[in-house]
Amino acid sequence: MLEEKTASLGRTEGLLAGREASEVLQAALQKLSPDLRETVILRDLEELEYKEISQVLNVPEGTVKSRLNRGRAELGRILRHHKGSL
Amino acid sequence: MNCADVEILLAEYVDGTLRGDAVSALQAHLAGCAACAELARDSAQAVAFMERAAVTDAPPELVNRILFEITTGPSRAVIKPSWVRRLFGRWLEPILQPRFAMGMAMTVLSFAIIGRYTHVRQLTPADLDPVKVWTAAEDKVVRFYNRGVKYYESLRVVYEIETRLKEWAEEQPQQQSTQQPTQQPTQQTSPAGETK
Repeated sequence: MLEEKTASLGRTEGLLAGREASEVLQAALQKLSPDLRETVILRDLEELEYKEISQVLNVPEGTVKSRLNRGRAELGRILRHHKGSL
Repeated sequence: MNCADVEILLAEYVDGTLRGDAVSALQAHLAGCAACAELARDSAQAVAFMERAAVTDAPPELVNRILFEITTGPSRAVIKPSWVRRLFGRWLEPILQPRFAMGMAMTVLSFAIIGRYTHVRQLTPADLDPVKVWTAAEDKVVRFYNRGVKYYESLRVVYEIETRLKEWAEEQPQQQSTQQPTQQPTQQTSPAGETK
């Protein structure tokens, strides 16, 4: 179910990649609250492990996962709205 | 499984690292819970988008926070603060793009993290030698082989800043009296003031 939806997203966004995607992503990240933003950046862009993120931000691992979920979901919503405005 | 459990497990599920019974239990919950299914969909879309996007600059506040962590936080025992200030304090002026500062900060941070597990010696200037940074980068690429490309790119940034650092360090003595305005620490003291 998740895979299907991810795949359909890939098709609709087929043209948005590289530099353009990076700019859209940066703008979207700026709209997240700092807590969510830094968690998403450390995990998805800097590729740190949950344990490492919890050490860097000095919060429990459960908090890291929870923030990551909220941050990613919020980012997904922002990106979807952005596409709608294109 | 309830919605609170999903909130903890979903991150790993979207990462593809969730294993065992938890996967089927979570999928069963998503099939019957519209709110969690939407959360999962949004989350997966964001991750898919980020995988396609190029390396993104880290926000200045994150750089500040990492630097605070390594100079004042628990990692202080691993990293010698005087070296951090000496090596980074000057370079975190506005002349340094946040992106480069981030690369540098991550290099020091990885030393702090690795050091905590293996009790390696403290970071020294020799560790910031471009060749050594490059070699360490190769090790990391093997470790994160499935995400190697992006990691490799971000470490190339580290390599670039190392090279620039070295050049600047060599130029410093000759430019004592003719420094550019942007290099004066008193004019702007926070990298947060520079966003691009």
